[in-house]
Amino acid sequence: MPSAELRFGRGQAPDPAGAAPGGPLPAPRIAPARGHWRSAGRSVGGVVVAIAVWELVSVSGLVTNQAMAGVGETASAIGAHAGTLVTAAGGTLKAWAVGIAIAIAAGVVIGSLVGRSRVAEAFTEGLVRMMRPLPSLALIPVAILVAGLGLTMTAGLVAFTSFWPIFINTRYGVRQVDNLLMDTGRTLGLHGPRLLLKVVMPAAAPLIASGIQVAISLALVVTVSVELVGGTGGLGTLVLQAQQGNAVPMMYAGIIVGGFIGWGLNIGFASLVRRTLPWSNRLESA
Amino acid sequence: MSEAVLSVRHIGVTIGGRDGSVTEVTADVDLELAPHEFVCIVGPSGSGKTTLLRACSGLRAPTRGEVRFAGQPVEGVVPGISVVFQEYNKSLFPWLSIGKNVAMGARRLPSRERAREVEEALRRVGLDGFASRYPWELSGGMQQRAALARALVSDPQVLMMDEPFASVDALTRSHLEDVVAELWERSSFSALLVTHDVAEAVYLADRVLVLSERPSRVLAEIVVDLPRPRSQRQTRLLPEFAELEAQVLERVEEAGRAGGTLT
Amino acid sequence: MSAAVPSSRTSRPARIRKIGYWGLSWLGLAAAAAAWQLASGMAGSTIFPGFGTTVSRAWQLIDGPELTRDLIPSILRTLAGFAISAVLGITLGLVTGYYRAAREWTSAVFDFLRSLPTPLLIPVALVIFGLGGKMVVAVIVTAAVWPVLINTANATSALEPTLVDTARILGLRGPAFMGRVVLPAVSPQIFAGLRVALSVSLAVMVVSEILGGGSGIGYFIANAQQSFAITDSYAGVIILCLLGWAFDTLFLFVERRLLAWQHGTVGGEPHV
Repeated sequence: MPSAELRFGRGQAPDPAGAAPGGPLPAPRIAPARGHWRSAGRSVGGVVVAIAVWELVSVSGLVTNQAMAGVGETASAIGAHAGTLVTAAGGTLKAWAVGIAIAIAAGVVIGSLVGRSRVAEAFTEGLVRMMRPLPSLALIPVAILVAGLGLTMTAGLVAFTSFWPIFINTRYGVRQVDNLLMDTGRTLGLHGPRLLLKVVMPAAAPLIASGIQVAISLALVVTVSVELVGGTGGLGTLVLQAQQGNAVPMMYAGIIVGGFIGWGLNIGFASLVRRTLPWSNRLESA
Repeated sequence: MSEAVLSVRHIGVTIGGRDGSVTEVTADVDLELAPHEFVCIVGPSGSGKTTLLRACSGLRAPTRGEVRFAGQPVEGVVPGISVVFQEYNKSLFPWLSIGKNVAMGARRLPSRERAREVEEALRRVGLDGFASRYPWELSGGMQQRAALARALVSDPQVLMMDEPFASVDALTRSHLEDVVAELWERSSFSALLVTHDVAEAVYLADRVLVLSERPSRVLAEIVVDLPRPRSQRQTRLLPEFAELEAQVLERVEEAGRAGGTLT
Repeated sequence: MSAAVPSSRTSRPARIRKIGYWGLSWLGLAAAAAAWQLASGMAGSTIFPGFGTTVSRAWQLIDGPELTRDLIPSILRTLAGFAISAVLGITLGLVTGYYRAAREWTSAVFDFLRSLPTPLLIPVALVIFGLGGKMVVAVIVTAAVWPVLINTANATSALEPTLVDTARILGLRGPAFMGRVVLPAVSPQIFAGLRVALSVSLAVMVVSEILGGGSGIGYFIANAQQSFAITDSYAGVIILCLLGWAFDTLFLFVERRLLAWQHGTVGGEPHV
C-alpha cells in the first residue's frame, strides 16, 4: 500500500516579510538567533492548545460521555494501568518488529537483485502493479482462515504487506543509480558483488530508506488491525476490549500510547537516517 | 527638467538570516530614472543587485531611505512597474499557455481590450502565433520574450529587468538585447536593467551605474552617449564603445578589489 | 532550458523494448497465477482454492445482489471519505505550507496525529457513530487527510520565490493569488498526495467495514471468514484488488488530463 513521503515542515519558506499577499510591506524583521526557539515554542504551544481543545470538547458534552474521556481521566487511566498498557504495547511491538525485519531483509535483498536486471524488473512489474492497489488489510480475514490466530499469522501478514514498499523502492533505487557512478566504481576496480555493495547500495540508500519509512508506519497499522480484528493481544485488542467493556478512559489511554509508539518509531527512524545518510534529503520528518 | 519617473534616495537594505545573522546588503544607494531613459546597473557578484531591484520595485521594503514612483512613495507593489526576472522558467506560469501568461499581465484591462493587447504584445516580441503553446514547448530565448510580452502588455512606465539574459546562450543573448532595445525605442517606458555583463550594459544604456561590493553604494555613473538606434554590429565596433566599456570595467574592478569575486 | 517542439514518434527499437517490457510483465503475472494454482493443488482447496474457482466466484459476486448490497456502499464510502479528505487536506496544507507561523504551531500536533495508527480510532468511531457508513467515512478521513495535507504543505512551503515575486508584481493578491498561482503551482504534488489518499481510503474503508460496517465488502469478507466460506473471502479480496486498480487507473487518467501542462513525469512513478 503506497503512502506519501513522510515529510512535514522544513521547506524553504518564501521571504516572510515580503510574501504575505496583499497589503503594504512591513519593514523586514531581523530574525534573532532565537528563531529556532520561537519555532519550537510554537510547536509546544500547539500541543497545549490541542490538549485544551480536547478537554473542552470532553467537558462541553459535544461528544457523548460514553465516547469521550477528558485529559485528566485518560492520564489517570494511563497511570493506573501502566503495566497492562506496557504489556500490550510490547505485544504490538513484538509482532511489528518480527514482521518488519523480515520485510526489510526480503525487500532489500530481492529488490536489489531484481533491480539489477531489466528482465527481472519487467517480469515483476505486472505483479507489482497488481499488488499495489490491494488493500492488504483486506487479507486479514483470509489470513485468519488460512493461518489461524497467533504471532506467525500476524508477523507474516505484516511482513507481506511491508515487503512491497521496500521492494518497490529498492528495485527502483538500485535501477536509477547513475551510470556515471557505476563507471567510476568500475574504474576504481570494483566489480560484481563488491560494486553492488560499495557503490550501488549506498547510492540507492536514500530511496530505500524512504521505502522503509513508509513500511514502518504501514507495519504498525497492519499489526494493530490484526489485533483489532482477531483479538490476539496487543494495543488493538486492548482498545477494542475497553470499548466493549465501556471503559472509555482506557480506550483513550490505549490510543494515546499507540500514537506515541507510532510517533516514536517515525522520529526514531528519521533520526537514524539523518545520522547514517546525511546526504539524504528525502526524509525530513520532525 | 522633467520629473524623475523613479526616484530612489539613500536606500539601505539589511537582511536578517534565520540563524540570527544580520547582513547589510545595501548601504546607501541613490538613483533617478528619467522618463524614457535606459539605465543599466553593473557590479561585482554579491553586490546586492537583485536586492536593490527588489527594493526599487516594491517587492521588498528598504530598511532605510525611500523609493518614489511618479511622485508617490512606493509601499509595496504598484501598477506601472513591471519586472522581468532572470529565470524565465520559474517566472512564466507553466500551467498556462503563453497567451494566457501574457494575459495575466493585462488583468487590469477590460476583457475586450485584453485579447487585442495580448495579441499585440506577442507580435511586438515576435511570438505571434505562439499564443496557444506552453512555456515548456519554447526555447529559452522565446520564453524570455514571452516574459517580456507579459511585462509590457500593461504598458508600464518602468520596466525593471534582473539579469534577464544570464540564462540564455550568447547568440540568443545578443538577439534579446536587440529585442529589448527595439521595444524600448518604440515605447515610452523607462528601463532599469541589472546585469553583470559590462558590454551589454554599455550597449543598451543611456547611463551605467556601477555598484560597489556589499554593503553597496553607487560608485560611479558613466554616461553613454552613443548614437541611437544601436546595432550589434555597428555600435559595438565604435571606438567610443570600447572606451566606455573600458571605463566601466575599470570601475567595476575597483569595486571588486575590496575583496570578493569579480563577475 | 531549451526545448524544441517535441517529436511524437518513438524510435522503433524503443517501441520494441516497450512491448517486450509489457510482455514480460504479463508473463510474470501469469506465472504468479500458475504458482497460485499449483499451491492450491498442493495445499488442498480447503484453505487455498484454485485461481479459477476464486475468479469465477468473484465474477458471481459482482454480478449478483452483493453488488448493490455491498459493492456500491463500499465504493460510495471510499469516495466520500476521499473527497472530504481532499478538501480538508488541501485547505489545511495550503495554510500551513504558506504561513510559517501556522506550520510551526501545528507541526508537533500534526506529526503525532498522523503517526497514530488509524485503526485504533475505530472503536471510538463505533461508539460515536455506531455501525455503518458514517463511521466508515469518518475513520477514512482521519487517515486519508494526511498524505494530502503533507504533500500540499511541503509543496507550498517550497514554492519558487521567483514565481511568488512574479505573481506579486502582476498585482495578484489574497484569494486570487492563492487560487490562480499557489494552487496550480503545487497541483502536481497535490495529485501525488491525492493518489496515495485514494488507496489509503480504500484500505481504511475495508478494515472499518470489517469491524463495524454493517454492509460493504469488508463486512462481506468478515462474514465469509466467520462462516468459513473460504472461496468467498478470497473472492472478496480479488474484488478489492480490482477496485483498487480501477480507482488508481481512473485517477491517473484524470490526473494526466488536468496536469497535461506538466508534460513530463505525471503519475506512474514506479516508486512509493
